[in-house]
Amino acid sequence: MMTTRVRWLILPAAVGLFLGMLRGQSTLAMLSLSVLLWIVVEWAIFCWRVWYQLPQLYLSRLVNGRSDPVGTLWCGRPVRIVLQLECRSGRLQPLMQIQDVLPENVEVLSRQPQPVVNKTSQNAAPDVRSATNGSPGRTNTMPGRGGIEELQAGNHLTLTLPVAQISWAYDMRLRAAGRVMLPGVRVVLQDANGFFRVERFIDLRQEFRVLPAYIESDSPQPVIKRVNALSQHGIHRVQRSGMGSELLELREYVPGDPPKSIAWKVSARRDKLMTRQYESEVPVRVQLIVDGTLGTRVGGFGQRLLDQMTCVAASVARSAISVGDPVGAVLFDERGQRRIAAGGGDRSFFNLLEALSEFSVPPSAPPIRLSNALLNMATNVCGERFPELLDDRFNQVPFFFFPLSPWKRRVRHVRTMLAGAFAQIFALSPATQVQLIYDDSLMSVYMQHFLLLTGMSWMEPVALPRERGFHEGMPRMQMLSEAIRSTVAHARDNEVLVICSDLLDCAPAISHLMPALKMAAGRHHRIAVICPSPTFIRATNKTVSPKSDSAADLLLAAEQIRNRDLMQRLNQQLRRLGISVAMSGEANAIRMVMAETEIARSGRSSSSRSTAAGVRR
Amino acid sequence: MTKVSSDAQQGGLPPLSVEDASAAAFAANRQSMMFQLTSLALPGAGIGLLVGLFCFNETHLTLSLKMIFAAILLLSAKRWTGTVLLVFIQLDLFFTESRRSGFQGGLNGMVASVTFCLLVLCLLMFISRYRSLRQTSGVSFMNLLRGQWLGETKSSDTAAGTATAAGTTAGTTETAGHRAASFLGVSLTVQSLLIAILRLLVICLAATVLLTALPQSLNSREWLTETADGNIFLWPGPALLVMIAGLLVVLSEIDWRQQSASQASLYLRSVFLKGHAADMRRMVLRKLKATASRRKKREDV
Repeated sequence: MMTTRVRWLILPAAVGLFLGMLRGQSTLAMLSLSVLLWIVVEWAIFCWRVWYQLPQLYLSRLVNGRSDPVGTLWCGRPVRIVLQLECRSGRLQPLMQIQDVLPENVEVLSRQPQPVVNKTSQNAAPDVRSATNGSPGRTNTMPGRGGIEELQAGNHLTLTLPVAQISWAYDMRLRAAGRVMLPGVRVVLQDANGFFRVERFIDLRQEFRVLPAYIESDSPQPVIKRVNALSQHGIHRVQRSGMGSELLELREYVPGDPPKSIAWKVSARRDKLMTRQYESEVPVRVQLIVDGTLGTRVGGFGQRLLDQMTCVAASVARSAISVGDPVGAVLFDERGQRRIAAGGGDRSFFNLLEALSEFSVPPSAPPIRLSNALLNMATNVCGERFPELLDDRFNQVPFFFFPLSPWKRRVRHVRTMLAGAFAQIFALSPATQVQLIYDDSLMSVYMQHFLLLTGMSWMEPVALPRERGFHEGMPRMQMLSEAIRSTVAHARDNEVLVICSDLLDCAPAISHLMPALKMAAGRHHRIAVICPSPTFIRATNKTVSPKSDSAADLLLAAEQIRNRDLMQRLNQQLRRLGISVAMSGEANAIRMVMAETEIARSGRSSSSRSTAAGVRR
Repeated sequence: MTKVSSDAQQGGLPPLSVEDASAAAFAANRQSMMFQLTSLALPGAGIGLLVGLFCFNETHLTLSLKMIFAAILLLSAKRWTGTVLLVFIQLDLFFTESRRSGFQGGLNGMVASVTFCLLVLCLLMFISRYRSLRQTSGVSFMNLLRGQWLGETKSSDTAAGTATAAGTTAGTTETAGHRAASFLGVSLTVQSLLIAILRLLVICLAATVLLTALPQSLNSREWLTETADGNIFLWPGPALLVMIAGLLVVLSEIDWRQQSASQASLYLRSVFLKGHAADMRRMVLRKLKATASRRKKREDV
C-alpha cells in the first residue's frame, strides 16, 4: 500500500523530529512532526477510500450496445465498448486509474478514451467531441487539448477530478476467430500525492464467440452471356453428358440412344443418324478440409496460419452458398476430425462459421521448459488479473535458508507467491502447491495453462516456435490423407474439395499424400489446394532480392526464396493431377482461389486432369 | 436497460443510463488536466522561491544568489521527489536554528514557524501531486503546453479557412461546451486544492499543539530542576502512545476485515504452509527424487 516515495519521506521526517526534540529546535521539530502527521492523515483518508469508496464502485460495460454476459462478435470488425463507472454514494476521488483488461486477441483502435455521445448528451456536453480530437478509430499523431493520449490507449482512463459518475467509450477489433473473454476492470487507487497505492481487479466477465471474417467476392458471375437457359439456383452446368437443357455435342447414333435425342436436320444434312447430347445439370457440393494441426496455431492472433485458412474457408463458403451450392467441412487436428454436414442457406453458413470459430480456439499447448521469461510473464499477468493474490500480507512466503544468491532468492520468492496464487485459482492441495515450488515441469504446465486461459497466444514464451517442416510434416500428411479419404467416402458425385492446409512444408515429401489425392481425383471430384503463406506474401516466380542489407530484409528474402522453391515443387506435383494450388494470405489470393474454384466447378479442366491422373472415364 | 455488474456489486441497484453528468464529468476530467498541472507547477515554483528565501535568511548571500539556489533546488524536484527538498530545509534549520530556542518571540514566533511549516508542506504537496499527475497521465507539462498551443492554432486555422454559417454555429456551440467543461474542471481543482491546503494548516496547528504539550529535551541540570519542581508533565506522552496504539489496532482490525474470501483462503493456505514448510518440502523433494530415479531406470532398461 505504501509507495517508495512516502518511505523516503518518512525517514528524514523521523530523523528531523528526533533531532529537533533532542536539540530543542522547535521549528525543525514542528516541520518534521507536521510531515509525519500529514502522512498519517493522508493514510487515514486513503484507508477510508479503500474501505468505503472502493466497495461502492459500480461498473457496467456495453459491447456494441449490449450488456449480455455472452454473445457473438465478428473478427476484423470494429466493436464499440462503453464503460460506465459510478459511485453509489459520494464522489470518486482522484487519482484513480481504470483499465478495461483485454486479452491478446483484442486490438484497441482508439488511442484515447472517447466520450459517450447520445441524443441527450449531445446538447449537454458538445465540447466533448472537440476534446477528443478525432473520430472513433482514427489515430492521432499530435497531442490533443487534453493530451492524455500520449501513453495511453482507449481502454485506460485516469480520473483526475472528483466525480460522481463517469462513462467513456473506445473501439476495438478482434484479431482472430475463436473465443474471447473480457474479464473485468483493473482499478488502481492512489492518493493525490502518490503516497499510497492499491490495485484491485473487479470481475466483469463477458464472453464472446468470435466468428471468422470472410471476404465477399466481387462478382463471381461472368459478364459475357454464356447460358441460354437460366438454371435453377444451386444447379450448375457440368460439361458432361446428362439430361440438362444445354447442348453439349453431337455424335453418331448408337443403337440404344433414345429416338427423341436424334437430331433430324443434322442427320439429313450428313446422311446418317446423329444424336444430340446434352450437358449434365447437377448441384455441386463444396467440401472444405481445414488443417488445424499444431504448426498452424503457432503465432500471434491474426498472424497464425489457421487464421488465414479460416478466413479463406469462410470466404469460399460464403461464395459457394451465395450461388446455391451446399457447403460442408472436415476440420482436423491432433485431437481428431470433426465433420460438418453439407448444407445450403444462411443457417448452414453460420453453423459452419461457428464450427470454424470453435475450431480456432487454441487447445492445450505442447509442454515447454520453465524459463525466466515464462516466469516473468506469468507474474505480470497474475499481477494484472489477480493483484489481491500477490499481496504480501495474505500470500506469505515461508522463510528459507537456501538458495543464498539474492537473484535466486528473488526467483524463489516470486515462484512461491505464484504457487500460492495458482493453488488458490485452481483449487490445488497444499502438497501440489509445494510441489509447484520445486517441480519445474509442473510449474511450467500450470503457468502455460494459466496464460492460455487468460487469452495469450501461442508465442514465446508460452509456446516455443517449432522448426517448420520437421515435426509436423509427416503426421500432418497422414491426418490430411485420412481426412481426404473420409471426405471421399462420404461424398457424392461432383464435389469440390477445397483443402486448406500448410502443404508448403510437406512439399519435399508430398508423395505420401498422393494416393489420397489420386483417389479423390479418380472419383471425379475437383480439388483445390490452398496453402497459407507464413509471411503473408504470396510467393512469385520472379527473382527475389532483399530490399536492404538489414537482417530482417535478408531473412524475409530467404523465406520468400524458400517458399518460391517449395511452391514450384508443390505446383509441379499437384498440377499433374489437375489440382489447382493457391497461396492464401491476402484478399487477391482469396479471389484467385474463388476463381479457381469456379473453374473447377464448371468442370472445364476435367479432361486434362483425368488424363494426367490416368483415370479412364 | 439491463447491466452487467461485478459479483460484489449486484445489490439491487437501479439500472444506470448514460447520462449527461457522465459526459460532462468526462469532458471536465480531460479539460482540467492542463489547469491542474499549471495550478500545481506555478504556485509550487512561487512557494519554492519563497521558502528558498526563508531558508537562506541567516546567510549573507545576495538575493540573486539565493534565488538561483532556490531555483536549483526546485529543479531537483523534477528528477527526485520532495524528499531532497525536505532534507535540505531540515539541514538548514538544523544548522541555523538556535538550540533550545522554543518559539522565539512568543506568539509571533509561533505564527512565523507555523507559516513556514505550512509553506514547506504546501511545497511538498505541490511537488508530490505534480509528479503523481504526470506519472498517471503520462504527459509532461511542456507537451501539454505544446499540444494546447498547436491545437488552438490548428483549430483557429481551420475556422478561418472554412468559415461557413453552419461551421460557425457548431464552433460557437463547441466553444461554449468547452468553456463549461473547463469551468467545471477548474472549480473542482481549486476546491480540492483549497481543501488540501486547509488540511495542511490544521496539521501544522496540531503539530504546534503537540509540541507545546510534549516535554522538550533539556540538559541534565535543567531536567533535574524541572523534574523536582514538577514542571514537566509527562502525561500527554503515554496518553498519546495509547491513543496511537489503539488507533493502529482499530485500523488493522478494519483492514483485516476488508479482505475478500479468496484472500482469506490464501492467507490460511500460506499460514498452513509456513507452519509445515520444512516437512512438506522434504516430502516433495523425496517424491521428485524418486520419480527421477524411476525415470532413469526406465530409460536404462
